[in-house]
Amino acid sequence: MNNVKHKTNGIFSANANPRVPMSKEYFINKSSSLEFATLFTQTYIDAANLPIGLREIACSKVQLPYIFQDILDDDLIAGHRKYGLVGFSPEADNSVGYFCNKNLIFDEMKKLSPQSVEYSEWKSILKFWDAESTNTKIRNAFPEEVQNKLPSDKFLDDEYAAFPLYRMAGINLNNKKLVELGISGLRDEVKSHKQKVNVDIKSTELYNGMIASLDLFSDFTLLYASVITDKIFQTKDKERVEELQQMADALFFISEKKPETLLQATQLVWLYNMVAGTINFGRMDIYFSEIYVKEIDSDNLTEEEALKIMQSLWRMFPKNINQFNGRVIIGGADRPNIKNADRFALLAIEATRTVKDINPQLSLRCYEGMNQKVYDLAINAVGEGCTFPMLYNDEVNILAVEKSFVVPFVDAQSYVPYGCGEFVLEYKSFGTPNAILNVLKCVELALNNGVSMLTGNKIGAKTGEFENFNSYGDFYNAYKKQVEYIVPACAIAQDVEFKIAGEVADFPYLSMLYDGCLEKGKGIFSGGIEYLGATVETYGNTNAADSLASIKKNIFEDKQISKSDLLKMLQVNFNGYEKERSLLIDAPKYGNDNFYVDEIATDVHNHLCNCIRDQKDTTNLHSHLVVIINNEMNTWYGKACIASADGRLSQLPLAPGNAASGGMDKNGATALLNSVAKLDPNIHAGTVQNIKFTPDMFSKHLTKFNAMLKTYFQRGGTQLMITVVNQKDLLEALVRPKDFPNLLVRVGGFSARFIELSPEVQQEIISRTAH
Amino acid sequence: MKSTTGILFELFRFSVNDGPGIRTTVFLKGCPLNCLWCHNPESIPFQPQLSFNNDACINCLKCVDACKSNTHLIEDNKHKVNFSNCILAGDCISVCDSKALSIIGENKSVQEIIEVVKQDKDYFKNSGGGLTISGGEPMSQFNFIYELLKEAKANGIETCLDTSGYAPQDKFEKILPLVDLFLYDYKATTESFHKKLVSVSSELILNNLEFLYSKGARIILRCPMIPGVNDNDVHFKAIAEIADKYPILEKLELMPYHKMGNEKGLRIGIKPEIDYLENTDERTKEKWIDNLKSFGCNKVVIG
Repeated sequence: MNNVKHKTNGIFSANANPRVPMSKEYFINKSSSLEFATLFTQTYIDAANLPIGLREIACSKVQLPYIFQDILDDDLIAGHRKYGLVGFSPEADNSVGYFCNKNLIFDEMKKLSPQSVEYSEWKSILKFWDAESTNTKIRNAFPEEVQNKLPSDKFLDDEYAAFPLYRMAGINLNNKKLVELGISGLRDEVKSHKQKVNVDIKSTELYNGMIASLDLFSDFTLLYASVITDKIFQTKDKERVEELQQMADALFFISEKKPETLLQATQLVWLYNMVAGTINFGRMDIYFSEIYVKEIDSDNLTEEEALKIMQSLWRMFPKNINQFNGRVIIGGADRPNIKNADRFALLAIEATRTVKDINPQLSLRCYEGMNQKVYDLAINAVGEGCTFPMLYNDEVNILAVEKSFVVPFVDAQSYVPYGCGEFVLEYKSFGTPNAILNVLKCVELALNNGVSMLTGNKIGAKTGEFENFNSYGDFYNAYKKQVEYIVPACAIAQDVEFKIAGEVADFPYLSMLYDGCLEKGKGIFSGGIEYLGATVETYGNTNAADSLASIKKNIFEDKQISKSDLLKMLQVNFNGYEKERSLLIDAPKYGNDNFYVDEIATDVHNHLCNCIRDQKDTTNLHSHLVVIINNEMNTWYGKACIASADGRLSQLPLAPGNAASGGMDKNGATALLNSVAKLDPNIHAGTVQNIKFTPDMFSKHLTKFNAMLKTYFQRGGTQLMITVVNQKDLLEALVRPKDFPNLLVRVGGFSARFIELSPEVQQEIISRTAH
Repeated sequence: MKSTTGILFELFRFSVNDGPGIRTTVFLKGCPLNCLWCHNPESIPFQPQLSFNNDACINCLKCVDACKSNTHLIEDNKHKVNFSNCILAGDCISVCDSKALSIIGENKSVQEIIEVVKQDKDYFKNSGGGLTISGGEPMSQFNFIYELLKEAKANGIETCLDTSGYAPQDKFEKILPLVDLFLYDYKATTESFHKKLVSVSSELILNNLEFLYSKGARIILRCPMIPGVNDNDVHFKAIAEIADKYPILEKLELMPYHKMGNEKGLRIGIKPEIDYLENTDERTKEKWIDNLKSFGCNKVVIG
């Protein structure tokens, strides 16, 4: 790093007091600058010999003023965040800890002359982080089995059956504690732990790091407040001046004190989570309701003002959090003050209805005897096409979490879905999905003795030639072996990731607000958290089950297609085999309440879930569970798969989550939901069930919809993600996108504006049955 | 007998338009009436029949080679179907990769149907739904529906019969204990008009309505309304009089015309009699309601 020339201005050296004032001048849109990248890198190098907690503070201190952005004209709370090209975060994109976004740096370099000083400085920064980023350290620490079975990180380009991911995803902080204590209260609590007897050096370092983090947060909040105060003098609009004054006041207030108003609480929670690097917000009705109700009931705040604050918060989400995250949870029978919490829940749904955007991903935990008003308003929002709130069934999920996570009932009650739909126990457990598994690829590998049919690469286990299998059972065993070959590597990789994450950082902002860390004096990934678990995202489960059903029926039972012909037609994408493809399409398909194929789907589900869950016994992970969620990986993994025996054409998308393949559910909504409800919820950590309805279902048949939902939940359904659109609108939006700016659809584990989706995904959405 | 079979053209789950709650509807083939606006033209013949979806056809003409009965012809280099020649050999269907050809209507046993119906029993219970038998005119397959209804009741499933009322009274008498709710059509007023629009006399239909009502049957009276065809004051007045005469009808519904039947008709080679109407707009529906009100009938709703 000798050729990095920028001085660090003495902002940090080994002896420096972390409470040196930060400068406002960095505040505006400089996160992508070389200046910041150099400063951050140099700070990291200078702190190389410090305890990891102090290094983290030093880096955060440099990072904060750069990555936080100016407020927008209609903001009521501050805290727009844009990470730099290097930096520190628990889960910025696909990275953990100290990260370096190579692709974006390449983009910057392309703009420069290779002879320029800036170019060579970027180059040296790249070189440095290539060796020093946490992702690199993790990759290098993988044992041979992982290196061999998960050789690539390029899940968008390569075609392996599984890839490791790098991130500490799914953080859900104890925001209730944050609101109740405020910064000073939290600091006092850390101090009291520090003063306990028998505190070792490592723990003392952690506590010191926590205190320094809170000091830093406090200073940073004041800095933000002063940036806003500056604005007041430049603003003419009287109403806006008033708002800016309130924002600045709130920031000053929460820099130390515990919040007393909804605005202050909202500001504290948002900014703390943004500073911590959090992108999911947990059970908001629990942690905001008391302050909200108190303010309303004492006439300190009108409902209208409260809604304005929430709308402003809601608008922060899509600007700062990607569409796969940003969960806000409401509902649940275990909330301490249900009456007050429901009042806030109604406010949250109203914010969703009125802002109508793709984020936050509002999710409602439903239970028997829940407040009818909350339910009705939620269904109203869904019927209006908000795609939110998503509906979760507590009657099934709590008991399922108790079993799958192996935790006491009382902890299971605190489950929250985050991201695309993975469950964790709020501020008690971790369940980051750091492996993605392509289940349909495992079927392909079983058909071709471990060799990719797309490229001829040997990427799976040798499980025998398809033509030598005498029975469906033989073939199914080969498929299972392909899964069993790759899964252990996924678990080992996750184990390694936690170990390295704990070695490079204490994550004090997280550790302070996760149960167990303060008490034990240990960082979240260094033994502090109560339940350190992980998950594997599986894709193509439905296509795999449908393909297995076709192979069983058409090849082994009815013998309408020979084994060699099947391989040939998949290889040539059914060209010249249209009749055979038609037979394969007509074979039973998951999503129709059909006994034949649903039994296969259930078996695939059980095997996959159990195989992945059992890895907890051979690793340090408290749990290791399947999540059947969906982001855009169903499209990417589809590209990695040749034509499949369910009749799907080569490289087309896979069915999302647990849904039926597009248009293959032909027996109505009840049949689809019956199929879905057959999959055992007690052995995984969350699934997504998408279903598409026409608006008529809500405008004309609302009571029937409600009865359908109730029955589905009674039959064991875990959740439902509902898109309400007219098929006609989707088709017209393709032609006249400008006329449909707010047409929201649920893609899989996330919502999107239909017109912003890629043509492939648009077609996939259109192909889904509208009930 | 559970092995009794009937011929149906659709077994439709999650039906929300054929009676109360969530229902599974069995659509039977065969109808003695011939209504000008029939929205299920494929339900009129009692026998299975060929269906050709021109939109799905890719003009590969494989069916022309496969067919031995001269049903599939080439005219102007395009695939044409002569439906009257079809002997239902099915050869064309097995070569049609684009799935443009199919046979409408298949035999199913009471047992087969009841197994499917039972799969949604929970939904029926929570929504007040159940099994609906529709058509076609279900009473025309009397033995079959009698067994089917008996089996449904034995399984604790609520039943609904969608009928034109055109069947001998003794059959209604026999089936009455097995039907929880009748969806009973009233289509046209005055004998000559009735004959013209639906091809049969109204006498039997009105007598059966009287009979069922007098026996305490639960009845939803459904009046298909076809703009410019039967939405006249004579008819409205008659509907109002019926409502008056039978004060404890479960419900009185106007069923606004929609043109979905036309496309289905073309697929089986039937040119629609009414091909000039669009789906009924909201204003027209409101006008009908107002008309009925002017005749003193207030309990009517749009179905």
